[in-house]
Amino acid sequence: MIRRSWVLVLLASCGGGEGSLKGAILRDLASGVLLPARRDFAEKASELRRAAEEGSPEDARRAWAAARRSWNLCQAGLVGPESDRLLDAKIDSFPVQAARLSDLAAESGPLGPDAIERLGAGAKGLRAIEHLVFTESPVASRERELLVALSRNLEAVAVEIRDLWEPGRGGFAATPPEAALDLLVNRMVVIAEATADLNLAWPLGRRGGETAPPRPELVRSRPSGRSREEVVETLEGIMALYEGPPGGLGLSALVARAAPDLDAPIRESFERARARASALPAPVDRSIVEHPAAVMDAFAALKEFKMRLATDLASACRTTLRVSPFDGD
Amino acid sequence: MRRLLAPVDPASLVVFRAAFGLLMFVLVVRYFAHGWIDAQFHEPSCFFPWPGFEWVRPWPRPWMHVHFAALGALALLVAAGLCTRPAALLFGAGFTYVHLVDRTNYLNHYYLAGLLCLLLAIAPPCRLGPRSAAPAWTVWLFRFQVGAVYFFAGLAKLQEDWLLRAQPLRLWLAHAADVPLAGPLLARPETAAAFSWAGMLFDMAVPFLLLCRRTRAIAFAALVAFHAVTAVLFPIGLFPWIMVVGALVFLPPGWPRAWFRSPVPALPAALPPPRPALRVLLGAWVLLQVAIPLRHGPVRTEQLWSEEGAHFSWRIMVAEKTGHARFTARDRAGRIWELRAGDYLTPVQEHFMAFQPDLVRDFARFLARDLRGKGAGPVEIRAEAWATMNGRPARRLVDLVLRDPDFSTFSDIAGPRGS
Repeated sequence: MIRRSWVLVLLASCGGGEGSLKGAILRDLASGVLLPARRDFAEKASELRRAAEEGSPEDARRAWAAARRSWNLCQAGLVGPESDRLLDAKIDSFPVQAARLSDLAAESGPLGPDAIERLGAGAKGLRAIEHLVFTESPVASRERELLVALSRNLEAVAVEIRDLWEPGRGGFAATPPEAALDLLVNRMVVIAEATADLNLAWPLGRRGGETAPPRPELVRSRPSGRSREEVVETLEGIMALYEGPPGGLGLSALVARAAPDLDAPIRESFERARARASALPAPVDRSIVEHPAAVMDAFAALKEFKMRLATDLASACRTTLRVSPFDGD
Repeated sequence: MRRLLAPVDPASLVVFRAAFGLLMFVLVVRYFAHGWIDAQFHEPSCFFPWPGFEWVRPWPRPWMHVHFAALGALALLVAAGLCTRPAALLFGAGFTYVHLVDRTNYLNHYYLAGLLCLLLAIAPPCRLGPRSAAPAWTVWLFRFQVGAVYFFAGLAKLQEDWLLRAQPLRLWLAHAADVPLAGPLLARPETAAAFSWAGMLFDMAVPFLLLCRRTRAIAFAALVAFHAVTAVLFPIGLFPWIMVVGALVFLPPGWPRAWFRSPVPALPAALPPPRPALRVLLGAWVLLQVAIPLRHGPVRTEQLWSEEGAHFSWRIMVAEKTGHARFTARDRAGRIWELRAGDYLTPVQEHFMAFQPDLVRDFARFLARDLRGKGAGPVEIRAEAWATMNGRPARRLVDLVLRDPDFSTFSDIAGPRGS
């Protein structure tokens, strides 16, 4: 089995495909999309840590939103060593263990790096910080101390992820471009499906097609009111891999060469999904109650986009889909 | 008729049999080496048997491995010319059994291998010796079988996608850009168009060019080059080499003796004609091998889309399809839940199921029975599948509802250009 951790190289070094379209696409995506996205996230995580240490609660909220946006844009490209090392789970885990955070704020135990590292994924990372800065408004010293500790942990993980992708770091082995493409396309499909289901359908009460009352508690980025933006930004992260960096190549170059008729439907379905998600009349937790039809429209558009990726893009890239977005229950 | 009954030097058939037997041995070794025995017969919890063969199931562990080991031994017997006819018959039967288990394992060259095994079992055994001879009809029988593959493969390319859109070659060759030196040229759309037309002409013409003495040498050289290129460019396993070995029967029957400069045998004046039953069998064989590929008439894009007549017709490499199927169950209380094909199927099975309407239906039936067996009570299964073919944007392929208890289906199959 191909270890995903070696993909990077694929992306970073990609010596095997010198001069080829696939090699050029992977190099451009690595240097122009994936690495810059991780650098940006590490930078935003540092700004969040500084805001937590020195800024006002409003500064922390702004910094959190910027970090969240940056992470959303990274989601579709999480095929590298950060996934193998489960670093992404340390950054983004749902639901938040709110009770655990309250206990930590009430206790007097140490909040050093080791203590934070030992916390479960639900008690740290972006969503835990969101809970603190948007729900708890940490002004008390202990809450502030917890926020700073969590922000430092987030920054450390973000820097670790970035460093894993920096050229010359990590000692990545060569991976065939085909394997890299497989992983990328599979990941894009998984993220599109997960975004449709987890961010829209499940909160709406439509799990696997089941109709049930809305469940606002399942809405992601609810405390910050950025639930709608989370959907849109994640879609944009997928499309960034398709389009490639400015002046560089993305997966669309392979589609254009192999089956140009497939390019327009993929782009149109993305635009439709982004437009429907952006047009939700309110944050998702309110839309699922007040405008369920609009949420269903957005969900259907996201599903169609995912179908385009799973068929049209997978066909043009000659990818075999093999990944399920999440375990069944 | 007299030409068919005339005795000929069996040397070319002997070489063909030995090479074919060795290829079958390699084929079996590949099953072990790649772990395909477990992957295809032990890992799936659902199989797609052929209609009428639903009773065929893989042997329990470790007997499938034993089965393949026996196939390997039989292949070596065929290669060595020991007990050729029973060995070929048993290999053909054993290999056919393996592929009756699951339709997603179908490959054209596996089908061809089965047919050639049966022909080896039917034809008189060939041995090299100072007085050995074979009736000419045996050579012609193999020539017919191999030639039919080429001809019908060429016929299947006489359609819009192949000739006018250069698909699916354009899709595939776009991924050949990594090939040293020629890569950038191969990835050009013009190359795909040229290859498409050349491939069609080659397939339709090569059996006849091989039969003609004046063009035989150049045709055989082109054939070897053609299959070598396809072996490099496409992941099609042993297919190119089976065809190269098969084409050996088009060479003059005594070519191995000329090659190795061994003495030419003294052929008898005549050989006994085949028995009437064998004549009937051979006639039926030829008729069936012509009728089966033509059973749905000329290949149309719609047929490629619906998979109508896709099997046993030598439609080789004419469609690149990718599908995506979704299954949901609904019980009497109105509860609906999604069923993941990956929980039951291997990735390969899921890949092939998703673009074949009949397999989507069969899997929906399997899910309904599985849920009922697990005590879910009466359920309704909905299956939706979308697919893309030959670079066309994906369209709905299947949308059906399967209702308990009779599992009757209501399907709606859209055309390749959409509704």
